[in-house]
Amino acid sequence: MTAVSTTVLSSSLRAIVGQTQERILVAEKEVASGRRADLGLWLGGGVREAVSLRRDLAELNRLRDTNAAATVRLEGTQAALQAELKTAQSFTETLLTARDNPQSRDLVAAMARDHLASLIANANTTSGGAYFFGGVNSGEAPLADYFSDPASAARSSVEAAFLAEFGFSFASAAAYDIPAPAMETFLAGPFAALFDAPGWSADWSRASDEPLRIRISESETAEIGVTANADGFRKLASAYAALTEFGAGAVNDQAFRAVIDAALSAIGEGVADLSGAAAKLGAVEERVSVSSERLERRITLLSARSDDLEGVDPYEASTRLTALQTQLETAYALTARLQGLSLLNYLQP
Amino acid sequence: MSLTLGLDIASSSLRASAANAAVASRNVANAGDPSASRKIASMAWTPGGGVRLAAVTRAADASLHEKLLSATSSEARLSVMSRALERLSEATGAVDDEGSPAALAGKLRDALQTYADAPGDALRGQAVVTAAHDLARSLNSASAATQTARAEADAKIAEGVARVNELLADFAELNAAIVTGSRAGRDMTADMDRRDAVLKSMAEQIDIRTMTRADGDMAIFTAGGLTLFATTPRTLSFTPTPLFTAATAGAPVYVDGVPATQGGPLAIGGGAIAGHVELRDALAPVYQSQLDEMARGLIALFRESDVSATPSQPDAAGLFTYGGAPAIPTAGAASLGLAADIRVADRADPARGGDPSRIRDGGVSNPGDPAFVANPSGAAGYSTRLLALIDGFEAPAAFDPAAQLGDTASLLEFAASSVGWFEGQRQTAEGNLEFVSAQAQRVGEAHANAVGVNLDDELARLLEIERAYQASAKLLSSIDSMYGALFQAIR
Repeated sequence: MTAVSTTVLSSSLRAIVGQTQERILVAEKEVASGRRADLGLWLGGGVREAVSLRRDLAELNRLRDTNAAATVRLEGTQAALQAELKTAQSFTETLLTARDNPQSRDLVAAMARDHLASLIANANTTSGGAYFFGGVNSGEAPLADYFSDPASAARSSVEAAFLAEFGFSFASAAAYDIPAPAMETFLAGPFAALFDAPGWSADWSRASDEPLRIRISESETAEIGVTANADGFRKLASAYAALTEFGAGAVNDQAFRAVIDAALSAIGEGVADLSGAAAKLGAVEERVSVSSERLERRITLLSARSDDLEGVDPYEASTRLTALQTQLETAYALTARLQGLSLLNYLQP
Repeated sequence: MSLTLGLDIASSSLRASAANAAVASRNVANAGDPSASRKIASMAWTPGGGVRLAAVTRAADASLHEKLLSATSSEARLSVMSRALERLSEATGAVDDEGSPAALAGKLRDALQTYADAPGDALRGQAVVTAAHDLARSLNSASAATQTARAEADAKIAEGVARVNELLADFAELNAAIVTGSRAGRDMTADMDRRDAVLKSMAEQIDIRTMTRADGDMAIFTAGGLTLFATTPRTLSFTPTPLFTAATAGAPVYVDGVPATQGGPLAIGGGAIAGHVELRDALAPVYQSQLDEMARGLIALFRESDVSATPSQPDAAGLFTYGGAPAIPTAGAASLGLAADIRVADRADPARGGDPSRIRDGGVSNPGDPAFVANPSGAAGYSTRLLALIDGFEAPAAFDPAAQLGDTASLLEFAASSVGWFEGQRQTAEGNLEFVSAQAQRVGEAHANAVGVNLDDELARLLEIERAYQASAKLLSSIDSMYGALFQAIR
């Protein structure tokens, strides 16, 4: 004869009720949060992928942020370059006119002075404490104020070079007698040497030749190569400085033309170089923006995969919850029913 | 045949009914006790044709009981492991917690990325130091939690050993009583039930096999074959270790003088003791070695090299340092306990008089030595070293295969694999536990059904006994009236 033990009869239902309640707790959590209640238990070794995904997502988001900051910086750099180019180009026209009108020399000198000041200001463009044209030495203003008082190192060197060449200062009346070829020789020789790389770094610039490097995706870095040491900046500075210092004042008309000619050729070279730099910078901007777009796409993709791994189908979870509730109710009903099922209830005392 | 004989038989029947009723009411009284078995009254004929109670036996099923013991051991072992792993998972922040070493390593890399974007920004350098601190601390606390789990397991082993010894003493007493009682023909069923309960408690601690011998005598062995009880109880001995570090090896449990927790065919393979031993000697040490390797990988990643034209000095520990700095630790035994020891170098920490820009420039190891400074001018935009460090997080590196995560991986992948390994262990333990629990429950039910009490059954039997009693009483009164008629006739 097989009989069922009375303790089993009551304890098995009790165990079912306990288990069902535990599962309801899990299902409730999942319905409410939309995520697995215990991710580690659910995925087991697959957690590795979930952890990697989260980490990659954090990195991509961070790169997106730094790329946005880099874009701002690149746009600022590009704007400064474009402003400089525009100034130089329009100044070329002024100079071409002035070449045949020596009487406008004071005006030209004043304009050159303004342009030199704005060149220095543009080269010193800064954002968030970092100088765009400083190279890796982004913590210091690349160019010092040329017109400072006491006289800047750059200006003193220019004056000293003139004195060494001609034996008198530019302000003296003797300057009228400087012949055009002598002026040309001076401008092409000792004066131009001040704007060569060593002279420039000694008197003018604290920028580093080492370009700034930024990371624009998980595997790519980009260099922001244009610095205040670029040929273009030096040429433009030499043209503006020559006109500022030697454009006005006592020199005769031929010497003045020699100054204008030298300046025109320097501006031409400078514009060509800066245009090249602006184009390169544009290419970097393009790379950053392409990389940012790719980052966006990867973020969307990885988020979807992450949701797949960690998320719960809300429909499935709530159906499960309902089924479990029904099961629990059945267990309760059965317990009550079994309680009444005893021979004791049918025996007459 | 005589009336006297009839009277004798009827009264023996009354006594038998009373004995039967006594047994049935014992069964009813014990219906709620899961360890009590159903008692059966066996009747025998008396020479004159009457009945008497020959013996009280109990329903028993030796093979089911043996299965029950084995299922109990398996369930106890797995439930210990699954609970311990769950607790450790909470303490070390395995998945959901953003404070796990794997998540914080990713955060440190991201902080470096932000810093590299504006290397002149001291606040961003400070953020890198903070992230590095968080990572070092999470490794420290995960290592501490792992060793605490080992110490707890060790204490639990000691408790388990003491409990088994107690139970063995109880068992010896009960067994002796049963043997003597059985030889004297007494009803020893209640003692047998209690002895079975003792065995079940013992199976929760250690996996056992039993062997029944003459007169209800029983011997106990571990599943590996070591004797726990044969006429006299043997002892389990164990010396608890109060403090655990990564280098501590826990003491073995001795059964009857034989070490039984170090693998091999004799080893204890079930029960809570086995679960605790497995956690203490296998799982936790592997996890610890993974944490140690992570710490070693970090120290190696942030190491600084001699950058002078003719390098002459060995690499030195940089942002992350440890007790044995400046040497870079090697893989294997040298990295033991590194996770507890790793910390952020003071020279990079502004809170301790350091300078975070040394992370960018190099020179954390020794700021006074220009050979380790890659950016001597201190240029604010210098990002080359930071970018190299960021790349280092994803670059393949060698790891100790003893950590069970392969020998080559990037630091970040290694950290993620460690979480995967841990949760894999947890999932396996939990899955096995679910299976074994269901099995244990089924075996328990089958055993209870085979030997347990059914109230309805007992009530029905009581009705039968009542009828038999009534019939016997009626018989007595009939015989009595016959005697009355006889005596009347004589008078």
